[in-house]
Amino acid sequence: MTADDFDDTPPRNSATAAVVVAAVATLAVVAIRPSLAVVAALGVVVLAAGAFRGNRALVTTGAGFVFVADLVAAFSGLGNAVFPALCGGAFAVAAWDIAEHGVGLGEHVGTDARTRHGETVHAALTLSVAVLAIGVGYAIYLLGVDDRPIAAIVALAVGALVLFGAFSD
Amino acid sequence: MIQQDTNRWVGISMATFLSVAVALVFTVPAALIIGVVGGAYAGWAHFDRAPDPDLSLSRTVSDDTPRLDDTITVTVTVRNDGEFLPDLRIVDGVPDAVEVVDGSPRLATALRSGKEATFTYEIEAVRGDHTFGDATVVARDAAGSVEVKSEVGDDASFRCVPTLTALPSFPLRAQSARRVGRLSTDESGAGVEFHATREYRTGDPLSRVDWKRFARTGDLATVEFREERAGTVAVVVDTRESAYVARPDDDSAVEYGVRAAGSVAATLLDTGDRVGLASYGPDMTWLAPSLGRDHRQRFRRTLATDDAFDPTPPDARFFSESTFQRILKRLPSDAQVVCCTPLCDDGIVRFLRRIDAHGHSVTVVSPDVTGAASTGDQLARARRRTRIRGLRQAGVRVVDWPIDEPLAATVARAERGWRA
Repeated sequence: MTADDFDDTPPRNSATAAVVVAAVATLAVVAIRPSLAVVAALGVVVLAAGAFRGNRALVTTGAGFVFVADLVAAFSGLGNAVFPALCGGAFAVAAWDIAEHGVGLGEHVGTDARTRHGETVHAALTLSVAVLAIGVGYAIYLLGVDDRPIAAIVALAVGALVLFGAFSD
Repeated sequence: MIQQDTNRWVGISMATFLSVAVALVFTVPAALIIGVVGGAYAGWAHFDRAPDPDLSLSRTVSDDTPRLDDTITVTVTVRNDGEFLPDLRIVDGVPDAVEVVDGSPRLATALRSGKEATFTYEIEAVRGDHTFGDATVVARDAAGSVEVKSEVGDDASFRCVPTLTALPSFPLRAQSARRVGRLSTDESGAGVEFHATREYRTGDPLSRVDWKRFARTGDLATVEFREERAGTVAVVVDTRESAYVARPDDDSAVEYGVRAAGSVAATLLDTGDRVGLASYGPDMTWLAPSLGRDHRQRFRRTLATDDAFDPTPPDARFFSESTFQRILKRLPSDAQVVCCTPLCDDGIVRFLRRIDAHGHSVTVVSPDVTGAASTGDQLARARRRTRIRGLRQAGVRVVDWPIDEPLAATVARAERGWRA
């Protein structure tokens, strides 16, 4: 009756993709401040553990580590570190999204089901959003004048409103 | 159709506010820019519309009248009649009693408008009528922030009516009835087995005159044979909820009981006995004892597909007294009872002894599904043995069938024991 036992391990493709994307984010962090590599790498390991075993808390913790490492790097980095910082943040979120989606797939359809197409489409969409975010963010940065990024504050204000709308209804 | 938020993007607000806080407190423009990422994902999650799945599903079952334990391939095709669905999860409604042996009855995919997705899995045929349930469909928007749950199905089904396999023999209790058959009686008459000789009386058939004796002594004598008669048997299957006991990863005792009932009935029908069928459970089914090809087919079909013998336990309440009365009322006065039960509680013992007390001799065929792994298993096994001993002392024949042995072997052994 082994075939009847439901195995909710997430599909490997999603987990692998998430780890790769998180590793890219780590590279971005390393590019700004090599000393933060340990924190970010720890984040990737935790995320990998969560993604392959199907544990949401680990996935979120791991991605959180990468994201915070990126933030700290941006905080201490120089002005020309904006692009890698942006990449680090965007790919950390994308990695979390891909891994969490995989965990959800594991719970819904299990590891035995065919999921490749769904995974590919989701990963492509979330990476597009990441790339779009990087593009828009960098454009805002370039448009903003040196240490007075007015456009960025305006964009953030809009973003905050959207957020508010998103989670209040 | 149920729509709900998955709330999976709630944490993104924290990431965004954290970046903004860092940016404002320490005046770091790069951190502020990272906040844009959070804003972008939040916007994606918010502005994506909830999907409105419009799907149709069709199943192809490779064999809708399989034999027992055959492997059936089920091919499920889902067609998207509506808009693009970026994230679609489908769980097929496999019938309860059926086991998936290969593949997965589930699929996750993205489906464009007008496209089809197909998945295949294999199931093992079990006895009975089985209709596929609706497949559960969960459609999410691209960001996965909203999911819509719905059901879609068709009326695919299959029916598995196992053939009845006869045993080499099944001994019935001695009885007296008025039909020619195979039960030996202590009355003499026309038969096969020698019984006695008596003085010739006018009208005795010439073929039964003992000619050797005539040649030897000159006296005319007539040979009498043991008269053989057909039995009337009601096969009763224990289908109460408590009879659905099973060893781990094995069929339930009811399934074994049904198999035993089929074998016993086939054997007895082959030898010209009249066989009826009853279920002792919440859903009482009755097939009056009869014989012939049609009856055999009816018997086979009833045993395979009647709700009373469903492979999954019944929900309805069971009333032992009224069920006993209903069975007793229908039993022909000369009928004996063959009961297939795991003997896993005392209720069935009371039932059998009452049937016996009403003049119907009882034979029990009891599949032994008890285990020996835990203390509880051993207790159940010991109590079952006690029940068997009690029944035997009360004059009820019990065939204690270890389910890993062919029933024919067990019956043959029991038969030798009864003859000795």
